[in-house]
Amino acid sequence: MKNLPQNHFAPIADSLAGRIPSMTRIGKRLLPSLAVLVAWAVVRALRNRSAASLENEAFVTGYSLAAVCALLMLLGVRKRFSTFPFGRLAIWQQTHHYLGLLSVGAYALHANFITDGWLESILAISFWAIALSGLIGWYVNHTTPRLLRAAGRQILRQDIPVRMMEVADQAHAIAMSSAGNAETATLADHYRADLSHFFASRRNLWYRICPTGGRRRRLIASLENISRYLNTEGRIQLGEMSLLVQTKDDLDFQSAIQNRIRLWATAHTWFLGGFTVLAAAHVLVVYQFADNW
Amino acid sequence: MQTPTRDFVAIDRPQRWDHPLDPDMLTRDLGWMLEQPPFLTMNRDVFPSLSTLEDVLRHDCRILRFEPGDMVIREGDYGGSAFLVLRGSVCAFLESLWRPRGKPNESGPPETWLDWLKGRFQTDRPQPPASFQDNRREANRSGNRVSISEKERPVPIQRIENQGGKNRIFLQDIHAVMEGFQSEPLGVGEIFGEMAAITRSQHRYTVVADRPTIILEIRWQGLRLMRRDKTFREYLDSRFRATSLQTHLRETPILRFLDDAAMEKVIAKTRIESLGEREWFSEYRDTQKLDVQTQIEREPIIAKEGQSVQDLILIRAGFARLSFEQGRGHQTVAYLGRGQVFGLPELAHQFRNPLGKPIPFQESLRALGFVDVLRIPSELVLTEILPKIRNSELPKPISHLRYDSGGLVVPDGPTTSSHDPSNLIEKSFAVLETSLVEFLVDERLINGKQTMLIDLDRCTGCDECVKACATTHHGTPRFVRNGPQYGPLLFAHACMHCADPVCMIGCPTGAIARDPDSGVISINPDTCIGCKTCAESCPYDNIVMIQSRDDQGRAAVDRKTQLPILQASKCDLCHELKSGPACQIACPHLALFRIDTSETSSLAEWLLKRASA
Amino acid sequence: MNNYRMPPQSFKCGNSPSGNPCPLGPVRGRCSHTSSETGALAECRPLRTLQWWSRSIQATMTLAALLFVSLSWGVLGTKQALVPGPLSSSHAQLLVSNREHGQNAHGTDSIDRCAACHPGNDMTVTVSPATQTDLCMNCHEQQMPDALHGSPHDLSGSALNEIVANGDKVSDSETLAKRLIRFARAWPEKSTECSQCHREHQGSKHDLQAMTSTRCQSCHRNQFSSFSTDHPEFKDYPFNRPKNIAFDHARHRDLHFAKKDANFDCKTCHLQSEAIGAVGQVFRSVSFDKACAACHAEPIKSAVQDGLIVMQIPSINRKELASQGVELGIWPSQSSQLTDGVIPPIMRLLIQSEPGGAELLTRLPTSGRLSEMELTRKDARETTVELATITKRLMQKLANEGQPGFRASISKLISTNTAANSMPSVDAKGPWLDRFASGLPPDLFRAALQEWFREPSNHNYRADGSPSAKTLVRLSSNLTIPDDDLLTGDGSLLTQETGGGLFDNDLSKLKSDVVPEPLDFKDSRTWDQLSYGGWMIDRQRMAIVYVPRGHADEWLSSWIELEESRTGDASQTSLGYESQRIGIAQQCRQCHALQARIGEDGTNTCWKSRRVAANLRPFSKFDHTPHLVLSSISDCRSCHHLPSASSASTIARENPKSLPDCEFTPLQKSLCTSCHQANGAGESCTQCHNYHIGLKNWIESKR
Repeated sequence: MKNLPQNHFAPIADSLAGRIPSMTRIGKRLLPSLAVLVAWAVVRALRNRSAASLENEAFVTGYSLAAVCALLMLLGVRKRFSTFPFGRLAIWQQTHHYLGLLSVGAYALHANFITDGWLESILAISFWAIALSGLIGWYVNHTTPRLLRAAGRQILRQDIPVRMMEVADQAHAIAMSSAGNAETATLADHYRADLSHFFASRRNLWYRICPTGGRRRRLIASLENISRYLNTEGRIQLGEMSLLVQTKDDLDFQSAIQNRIRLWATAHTWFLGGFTVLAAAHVLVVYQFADNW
Repeated sequence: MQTPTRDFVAIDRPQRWDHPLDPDMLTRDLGWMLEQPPFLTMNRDVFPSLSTLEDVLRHDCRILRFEPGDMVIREGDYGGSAFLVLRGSVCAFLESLWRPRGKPNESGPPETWLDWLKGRFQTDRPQPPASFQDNRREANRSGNRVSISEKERPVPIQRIENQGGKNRIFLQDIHAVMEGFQSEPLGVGEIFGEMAAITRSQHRYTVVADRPTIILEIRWQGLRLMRRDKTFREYLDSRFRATSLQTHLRETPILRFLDDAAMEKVIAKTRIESLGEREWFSEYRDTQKLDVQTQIEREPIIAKEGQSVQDLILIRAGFARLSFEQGRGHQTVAYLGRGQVFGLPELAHQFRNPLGKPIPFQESLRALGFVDVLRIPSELVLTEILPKIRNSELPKPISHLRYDSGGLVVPDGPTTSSHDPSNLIEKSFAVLETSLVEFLVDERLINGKQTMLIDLDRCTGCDECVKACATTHHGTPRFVRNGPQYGPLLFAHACMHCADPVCMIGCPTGAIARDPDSGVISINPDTCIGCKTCAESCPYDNIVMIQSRDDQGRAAVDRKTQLPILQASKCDLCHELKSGPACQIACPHLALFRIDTSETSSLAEWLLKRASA
Repeated sequence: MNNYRMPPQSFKCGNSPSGNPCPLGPVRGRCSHTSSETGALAECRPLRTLQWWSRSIQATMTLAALLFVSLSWGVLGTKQALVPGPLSSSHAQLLVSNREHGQNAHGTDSIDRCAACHPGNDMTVTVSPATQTDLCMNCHEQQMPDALHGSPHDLSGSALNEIVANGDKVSDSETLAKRLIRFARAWPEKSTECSQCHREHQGSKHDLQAMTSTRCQSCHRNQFSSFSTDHPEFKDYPFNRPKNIAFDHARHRDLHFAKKDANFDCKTCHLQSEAIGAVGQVFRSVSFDKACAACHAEPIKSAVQDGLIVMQIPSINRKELASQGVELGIWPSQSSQLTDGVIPPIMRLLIQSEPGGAELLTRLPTSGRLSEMELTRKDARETTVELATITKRLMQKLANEGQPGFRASISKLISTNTAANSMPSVDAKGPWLDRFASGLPPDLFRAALQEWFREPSNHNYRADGSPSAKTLVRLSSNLTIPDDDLLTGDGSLLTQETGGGLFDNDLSKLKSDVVPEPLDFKDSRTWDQLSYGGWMIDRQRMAIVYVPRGHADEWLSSWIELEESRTGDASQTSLGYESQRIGIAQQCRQCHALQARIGEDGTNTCWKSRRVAANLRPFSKFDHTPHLVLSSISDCRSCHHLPSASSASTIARENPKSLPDCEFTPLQKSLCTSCHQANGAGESCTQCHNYHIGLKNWIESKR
């Protein structure tokens, strides 16, 4: 039944009157940040307290750090259980981000940036590796969606190679058709000389790391240059060809960006196992050697 | 190298009518049925040899026996069957016994983790008795009892009582209820519930047996076959106009305050009209390839702009496009769904200044697919209905006339859409820009009640949603993270659990069915025979034929032919999960949503939230 | 008709690049043989995806970590990879040197260096016998034996209580007392561990002794948040320690130096400017020669010039005795001419050491003058005779037995002393007596005996002509003193010569010609020759005299110490007249607060100014040097204020013991806080305070 209760539309009515509560955005960032700060202050207070009672403050900070890391790892567990009803994964992700910040703070309280000694150094390095990759991943996640949208309609990563092949075939077809006629053959020659490789091959590593439109512009410009050797039909084909160049470049761009996202998402997990093992070893060593605590 | 047998599990290909509605139907009963009207008079020759009338009766029918007070159908439920009274009589309540429960398919919020664990550990946990739900329903009914007109009536309480292993659902003190509520008796040979069955919509009335009664339940697949008989078909149509009109008018908001006498008049004068094909999707597939304007031209027109307002138009079923001519084409302003009215502003304008000239329709109304409309003559509206409506409920006066009695008004200065939002639904249209509305209409996304919407400004393509979906469905996802795209909005190829589920048409075995309570449409893998009917009839490519595989992920092939066994698969909204659709929960970037696009309000709401955040 | 795209997996269908992948994709890395609908089985080799690579990277990393840990822990046996950081240089070099010897301090295998400090560090769960602190103390017990207590400030609970008991002597008494009581109650023995404050593995540059104040704050938390605000005001710092040498700075500055208008500069005495270093070494106490001698050497020398009379022949009126019919036997005739008959104090002491001596002294006249005794009375006569015999016996004893005899009699004096506790303990008696006795020359006593106790010289007077030869002969014939080589030889020589053929000639002439003049020392003035002190026979006073050599004369000081030790003696007090005291001692007492406090080595510490023991780690420490570098406070007086000479200090001259222990006005905290702020010269507790305090010394310094 469509006669909806009035209150159902209350938010819209408000919004139409331009009465959107704008603090929500701020609150979304501010409150968790404050929470992180408070938590960090608590850890710091604990550390000072234990130091004041002639204990080894490294234990308090260490355990806090361990706890935070455990919480951070919970996200991975959560992802295993996709049917997990504890709220949306997005909430977990957000919490994960802020906990990540907290973990860095806790680390700063616990140890130096890079400690002496092999075990600790490797442990520290792996920690920083994970933290850094996480940070970059976060940045990538927040920036790339707009990049992707800039490159036209979204396309699934799995489909990109197929689409590329299609594009390449179309380009090839155009080239073939143009080859027959002497007045359009220049396009075919140009295709053989310049474009065929562009359509057939993947882009170089540098492009895949940071994609730029330079080559596309060059190719299109070179196509423009040969337009005067072509008759009208040839020009039409030229237009199609340059369109295909554009498409191919977009596809390259898409795959580069999407791969980048994937890479950083996975890079975040590379050191995880090692880190856990080393951390456990670290705790064992501490309890073995720092006696009378 | 491994031998193929290791990777396949051989099973029997499911056949149609593997699962008859009533497996142990007695031949005696079948014979008896064939003697009864209307089957007695039916023309056997129109039935194909593969499915004779006997077959239909045997497989798609079932004989039910009811005691006084037993509930046959309950308002609001999705019905897959029509009911034919063979003995005794039932009474159908013309007004709602209970206030409407909210959306039929609300997947409840994720319950507590404790329940989650419980669910994980004890798989077969006892369902709470239905009476609980009913009490709950009762509770929130008394919660929003707002109408002044309601006098003290006996509260209809439905009871559940176990008799011989099967639950018997009946109304307490049926006669008191019959006095309290307006009801209509249905006698032998009368059919009810068929509208819900055919239009794949909810039952709009409750039917209760008022004496010991024998009823034949006909699966609507069977009903479709029976429609081959001409008389039966006409009978059905007449039936449905009569009954559904009653109830529909009763529940139309602006007719809310009519007394019975006035209502009588209205009912008498109201004309019923059906436009478009019932199986609209096939021709939609063809017209889809054409450009938008010609599509619009092709759509059957209900009311044309500039024409004088003969009558007020109520949408009874389906969707209609609200548009006006802009330049060479038509600009879609909105789409009206079930229960919405067209022409009210114009009539209201006339009602406000009765001396002035009446103004014609300001927009055109076109049928999208299959639409049922009711036409109430305008003079009746002016005399009987509008005077009884509160001023607050009247639409605001029209600011810019697009057409007046003289015809097209040449707009002085920039004229925006003259259609200034009068009621809130139209307000929500004002939020959506026209192009989006047109997009929704053209893609027929207006049909979706659980449309999967991905915000590309947030989505990073991490495929967490796909992963989640796959893990919940034996390793195969049930949707494609791609589809029609409007700016940053991606309407993914996932079943929308449409308001008008055309996929359910033509399923030979009823494997694809709508859950009465939740409204979720799901495919039963045991009965799906992989005939691809649903997959092809789905206009959105949201049903995919996949190889059925067992839990180890091994593909199933036919024991005889060694060919892979294909079955239709689609999003089932994870209805087994208490936590709701896994894809939505699993999205780490708050990019994926399930939204009811059949009513623009929720989409508009979502867009506003998105803009604010 | 579109197909589902499989979520990212480790493998993807081998046909996916070619554009028509299997809808199912590979199952567990194996091709599932099915392409979309046609059912044609298109075999493919599944491709590895990014997922696969990242998984394998994860696995590799994890394995590497496991390998690293297991290798560095168990397998290789050496745990050097687990060390959190390099040791501080001192400990590191220790372990290294041990490793070179193939053994570490505990004889365990050199590979396992951890065991040197970490008991039971192998993963065996056996609880280790020794704690880490014990291992630390294995090496550090020498420096800080008290640290073994493992309690706050190395003080055992009892010791803490003790300090608290006389907490009023402690500078910030009540607060410290409260604190310490809390410790003594709350902290069991061995409640602290070295590693609680000294954190190792912080790198070779790390200073293990550097402490943050928070370490102290853990107990002193509630009032010590900052030095300037919370530290209690110094009551009497530098602490009041009783002084042995009563040097009155104010008096010297205002009277003596002013008189000579000499510059009274602290640094001339207290600063050794020529020492290495910016400012040189600062002394608390200075030597006599450096500081005092310039003015005080001369008076002292003149004071002791007459010397000490060790032994004097008492003057006895022999004629009167004789008239009373008492014959004194051989007795030096000059003694009768001497008028005053006072027995000098040292001799009195010696007499006391003789049997019956003390009793004899009591019978002498209270004035001490022998001449006042009227010999008409019989007892007086007997006393005189006894005195004479004792004197003679004493001299003979010293002559015959020499230093051993002297030592014996002194030791008798000590033992007879009732206030023996002030004398050196039994084991310390020996060395002290030895030093005392070493000063005595027996020869001198012999010579004196020989000179004074020969035959009565009356027939000298009767005899005519020069008596010398005869005297010599007679002397040689009937001397009772032990044989004198020179004289007898001389005599025999003469007799042999005379026994030669010379007897025929005229004796008198011949002898008067041949015999050389005999040596005569009677009228030689020994004083002139004894300008640096020593022994002599005083023929006028008929005495054996010891002339001390100026300041700090050992033999004299020994006598004074002996006298000090006997101050409480009943036999002394019974006859309380001044003459019984050694006169020169007054001179010493002006500066030295004399007590008989004699150390194990037999020396008396009361002569020298107190020194801070080398190993004393006081609770508060102060180093002048860095302060004196600052030109603003390079002048000592900027901190040490000396009030002008007051009446108190004049009194002090008469009675040195009453001099205030510290005449300087106590230092104010404000002096320090002007520089010692958190952002200035620092205000950490350990800048001025030691945590590890030598228990004994500390308590002592508080007393």
